[in-house]
Amino acid sequence: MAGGRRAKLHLSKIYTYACGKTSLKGDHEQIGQPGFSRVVFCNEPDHFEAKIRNYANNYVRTTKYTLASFLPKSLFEQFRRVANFFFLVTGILSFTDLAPYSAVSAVLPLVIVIAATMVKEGVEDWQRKQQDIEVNNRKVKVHVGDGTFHDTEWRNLRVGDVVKVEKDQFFPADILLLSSSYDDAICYVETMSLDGETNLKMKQALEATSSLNEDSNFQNFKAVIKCEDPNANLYTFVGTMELEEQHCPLNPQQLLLRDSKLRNTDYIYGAVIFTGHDTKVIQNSTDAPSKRSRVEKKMDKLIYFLFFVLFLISFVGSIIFGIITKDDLKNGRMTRWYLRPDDTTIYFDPKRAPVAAILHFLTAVMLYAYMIPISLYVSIEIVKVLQSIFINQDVHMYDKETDKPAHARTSNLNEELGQVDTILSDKTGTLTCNSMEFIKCSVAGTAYGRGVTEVERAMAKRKGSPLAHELNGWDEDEDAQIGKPLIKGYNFKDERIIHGNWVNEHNADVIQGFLRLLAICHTAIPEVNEVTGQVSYEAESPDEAAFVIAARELGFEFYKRTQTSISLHELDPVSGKKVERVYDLLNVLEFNSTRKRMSVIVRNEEGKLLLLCKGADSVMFERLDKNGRQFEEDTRNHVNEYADAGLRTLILAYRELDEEEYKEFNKKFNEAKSSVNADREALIDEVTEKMEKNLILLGATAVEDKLQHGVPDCIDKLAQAGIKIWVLTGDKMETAINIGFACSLLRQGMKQIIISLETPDIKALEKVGDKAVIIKASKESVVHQIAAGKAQVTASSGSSEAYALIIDGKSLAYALQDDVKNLFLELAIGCASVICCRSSPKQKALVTRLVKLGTGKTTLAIGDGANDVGMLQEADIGIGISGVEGMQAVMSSDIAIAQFQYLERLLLVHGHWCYRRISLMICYFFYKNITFAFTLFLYEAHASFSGQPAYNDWFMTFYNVFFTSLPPIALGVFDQDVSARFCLKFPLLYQEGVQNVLFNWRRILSWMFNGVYSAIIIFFFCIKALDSEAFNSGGKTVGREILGTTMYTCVVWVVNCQMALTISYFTLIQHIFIWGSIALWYLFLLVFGIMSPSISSTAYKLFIEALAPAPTFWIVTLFVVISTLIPFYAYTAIQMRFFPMYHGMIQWLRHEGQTDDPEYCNVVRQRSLRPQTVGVSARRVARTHR
Amino acid sequence: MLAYIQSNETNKTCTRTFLVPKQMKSPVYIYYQLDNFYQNHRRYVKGRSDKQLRSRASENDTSSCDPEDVTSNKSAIVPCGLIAWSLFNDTYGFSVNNTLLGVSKKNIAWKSDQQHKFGSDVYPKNFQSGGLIGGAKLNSSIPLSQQVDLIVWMRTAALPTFRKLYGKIEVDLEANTELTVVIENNYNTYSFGGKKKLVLSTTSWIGGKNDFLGIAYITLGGLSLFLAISFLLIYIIKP
Repeated sequence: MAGGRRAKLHLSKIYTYACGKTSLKGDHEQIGQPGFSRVVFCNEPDHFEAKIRNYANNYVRTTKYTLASFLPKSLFEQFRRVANFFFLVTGILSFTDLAPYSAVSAVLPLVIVIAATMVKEGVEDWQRKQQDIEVNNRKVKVHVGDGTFHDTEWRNLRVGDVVKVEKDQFFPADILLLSSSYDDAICYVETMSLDGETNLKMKQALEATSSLNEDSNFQNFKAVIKCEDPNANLYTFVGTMELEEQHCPLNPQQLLLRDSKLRNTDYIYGAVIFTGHDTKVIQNSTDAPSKRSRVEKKMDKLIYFLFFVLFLISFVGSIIFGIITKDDLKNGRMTRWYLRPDDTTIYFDPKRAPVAAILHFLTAVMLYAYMIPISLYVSIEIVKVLQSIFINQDVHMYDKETDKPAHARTSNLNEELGQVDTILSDKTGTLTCNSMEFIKCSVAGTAYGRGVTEVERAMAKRKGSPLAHELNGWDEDEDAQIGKPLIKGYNFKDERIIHGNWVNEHNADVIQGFLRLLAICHTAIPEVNEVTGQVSYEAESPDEAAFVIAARELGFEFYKRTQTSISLHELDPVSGKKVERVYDLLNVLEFNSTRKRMSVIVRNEEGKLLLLCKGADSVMFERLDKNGRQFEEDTRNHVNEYADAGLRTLILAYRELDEEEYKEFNKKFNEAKSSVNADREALIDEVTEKMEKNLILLGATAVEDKLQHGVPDCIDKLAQAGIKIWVLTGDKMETAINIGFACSLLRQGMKQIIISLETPDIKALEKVGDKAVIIKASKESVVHQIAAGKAQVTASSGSSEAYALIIDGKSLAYALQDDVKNLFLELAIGCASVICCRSSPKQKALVTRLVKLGTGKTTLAIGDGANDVGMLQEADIGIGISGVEGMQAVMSSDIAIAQFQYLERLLLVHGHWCYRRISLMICYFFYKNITFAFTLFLYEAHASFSGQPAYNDWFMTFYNVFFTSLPPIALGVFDQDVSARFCLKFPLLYQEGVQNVLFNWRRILSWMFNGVYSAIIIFFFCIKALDSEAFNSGGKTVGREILGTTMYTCVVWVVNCQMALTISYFTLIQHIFIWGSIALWYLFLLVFGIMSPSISSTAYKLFIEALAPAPTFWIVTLFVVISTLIPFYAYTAIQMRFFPMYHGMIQWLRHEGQTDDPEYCNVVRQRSLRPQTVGVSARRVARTHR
Repeated sequence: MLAYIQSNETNKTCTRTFLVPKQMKSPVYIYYQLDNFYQNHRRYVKGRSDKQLRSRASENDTSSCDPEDVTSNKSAIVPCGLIAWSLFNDTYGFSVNNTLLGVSKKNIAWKSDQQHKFGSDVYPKNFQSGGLIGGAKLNSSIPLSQQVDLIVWMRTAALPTFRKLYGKIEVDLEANTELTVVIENNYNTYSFGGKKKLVLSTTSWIGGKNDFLGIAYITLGGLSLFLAISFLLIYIIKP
């Protein structure tokens, strides 16, 4: 039914692109030339020439690897990492005599780590493979000869096949439309997954093939298509079709692209032209830019720093080793004769000491390589994947209505979410729902409408006043009764007006005029549903539709428009019945951006001439008649209130005309309209100007550009967290400003710096039309405006005055030029809110880049449409709204959420946690490896730097892999400094991430220092405690293996207990991992010791025979562990008590149970808080100050 | 000095007399202590063949023993390597009032070493037969598992100053007993400027006498107490 109607509607447009009208000239001459060499034999996929040409099959592969390429390619990927490559080199070197340990023990951890990463890669790719299989095995009907069609899998489709695609199916390849279920061979296509546009696009086949609309027609169908080669351009297509000696040119109008969907058309027939990877959409898909988080980039630097330290200590060791070795032969006499320096290898040759020292350097590098945490990368990846799962599973970010949870499409950026400094947000579909609702009005100086806007809801909630409950209560009751507002575009609640009650108001006549004006003064077209008799409207803009709908709901149903009349069903105030009235439409004085108003002139049934006018307050109030200003002051107040609440307001007024006046006007108006002069518009303006005055005020309307649920609240929280929010929208400036108000990004009392090229000077220049002059003048103007704004901001820098910058697209083009952009950025940073309107997708991306590079801080872009893709890819983090407007934004985003409001939880809770977890985890990794490596180094210093490790080879191997690997992972996945509730309650906590206090050099270096220091304590206390005296009651003394193992035990204990001191959130898992790791070490020692001595070598029966029975071993362990940890413990205790960090304060708060004491909470909240300039809270504060 | 120790002719016997300061209950452990002797040097640590030590079949497994792996006629040295080659060879004889005290070598080596690391069918062969003699010689009719001095020596020490168990005196030594020690000073520590010491000691449940642990524990306890009190004070004064 709907399809039929549409077909009728559009019929008139159709024939503009029919076959034959496109000439064979132009592009089509290129066919057969290079780049246009494709030949397709329709309905003959087995044609011998098609075989020669060997076109790609229709299997589309999105996986990174194939079975064959997996191993080499993923290995290559792995070893591109410096650390992994380093371990590969040391692994290879360990097979030489240089190695201080056995080769297997050195290579094993690398193998484990690489294998784990590869398994992860493999699993991910396997999932992609599953998707591929699903897509490639979808079914489509293909002509198999004799006019019969059979279901075939997509992957088996070949170039030249004739396919039949049915309603709501995706096109399996790029298809040339031959015919459809419509007689004129049109079809409707939804291209949402290509460009994000929701409107349907019409395609039409050639006339020559349009009659082939039955299966049997294809029995003998043959045609040859010559066309361009596969390319990525979605909007061009050049080709010809040879059909029975006829040459027809083809254009994009006939091409149906893969990944778009057939809509409103029962079926189509088409010939496959491009398959698989030749299709335009696949050619178009570019690899998303790979993004890495700031923390990880810094971690790379840290790794380099560690390499530096590693080489440094190796170098120092080598020099000392060289000197000692040289001394082994003095004047031809051996000093350390037991080493036989007279008969030695190159590695220890005193005669060639420098060479020995250089070779020793390699040995030392291998030995101290334990300083580089080999398992760090793989641990981080595991942790991030688990973190992403938490994000995906968070029920607080799950949208019931659309059934969409949050979806972290990449796990790379989790911790980056905790460091966002600036959010760049799209407007439509992100902040707003893209629907207008008539919500309030002011008639005859009385405000009507009890509908609650999002802003009011947020403000009331914040205030916590009883009003809030009332408001909410009322609202919820109402919602519960009628569900959501049943009528789209209408959310008006006021029992004084609805259900025809307005007739009892004392200004009923004014109200009648008001509503009538709403029903008449517009350009909408009614569509009457023949079955139900309900009227719906097609209007140019959603707010216009909202007016007509409101009028309809309130008793003035507009149902018919002809060229000259408008018909209404009116509620008659006297009889209370519906009567039909027809108004003769005489003139429409249209809306444009300079006039900012529209009027209609009508003659009513009584023959009275009326001019009905609606327009912006800035132009309307000055046009009121002296007698028409009765309600002006009240109305003005209401309008200001509405505007402050972010509502779009219009003033309604009317005027009665007498015949004479009208005749004169009409004459002049027609003259002006028919003039061919360049000044035509000016003339029209002049004429209408004269008519639209002396108006009588009726009232004002307020339409809400409906914000998404919870947006003002969310923005307020983000502002409290110190995050700057910029709005980049393609909308008009007025709309953008309205939304700014609605979101509390703007408020009354905030100074707006508006940069715009809509100035009279520029306009005058534009009329003259010299491009170079315009550009020059425009640029000058923009620079001037920016400089002026900047001066203003600087002048008031001390005071608490807040500025808002609003800039339009045209000016933005100049502001983004290389020589101006820094000035622009400085101004923008000085302003509390920035709104860019009328900006193109490219400009959005450019602004994002400017902020990203200019401030050097983390930017987050959020958007929902295809026009936001550039911005999402450019920003450090791109968030896609997986709402209604297509999947393009989601596909190119890093994280997808269902609604803007979930951003709050995503950033303040998950972002903060992830940032904290990852940075703590990295610090800890460095700490534990430095602790370990430095004990090795210290031991070296006591073994004349010969490169003899203090520990058994296998102990060293398993240090990173088993005994210290799981607790940091638990830290990375589960730790939370404060609970989600407190994260949200104290948004300022987020600044810890923005200011990077948990991962700055000071903190990293102090963790490293902690490692060095722990190593020193462990080593010296161990060697002192296990001095040369007897070790057990059997009188035995300590050998290398006993000292090494005891030290190792201490290290395992210390680093694990350090973890226990570090984390602030203990669950069973943490306990299991931490104490389990320690237990595992003893267990390993036991089991390893029981194995045959050829495997366990020095560790043979070490634990059961020597260590466990000796009290010294246990006493020393206890002592060393406690004394190593006491300084850290004391440090944290003192810090927590006297210099708590922000999260520490909140932990105190929670600990002392003061969380319910609002005053104390406020003290904490306010601490080090810079004055907040945007958001609902700031607005409330500003309001109370006024 | 060097010439003295390296010469075969010189008499290296010397006699020392001590007064036992207080009663020593048996067993009294006898240690020798070496200074500046890097048993933990990588070249030295590597200089052994565990396989060869363990079983006769692997007699020729001497790859890690260079340069003390084979004799000039390519016959394997058992036990091979630098560690065994440089076996400590000073000897001590103890007497009280001219009566010789027996020095027991029982249980001075770890049992696991004797049972599983040093084969009972492996006999010394070609040991110390090369041009350069390192340390002690071994009786080639006793299997390695019974060569306790070697076994003790082969457990390399962790640090350059170390003690190793020489034996035990299994009688009590009363206070003020005059103990005479006859030392065969054979081992060359002069080359590398190391010192030799002879230590007699008894043990308790915790091993030998080690002041460090005691002092450390007391210090640690004191520190903890101090911290605890100061935190407590802070908590009381400024909650």
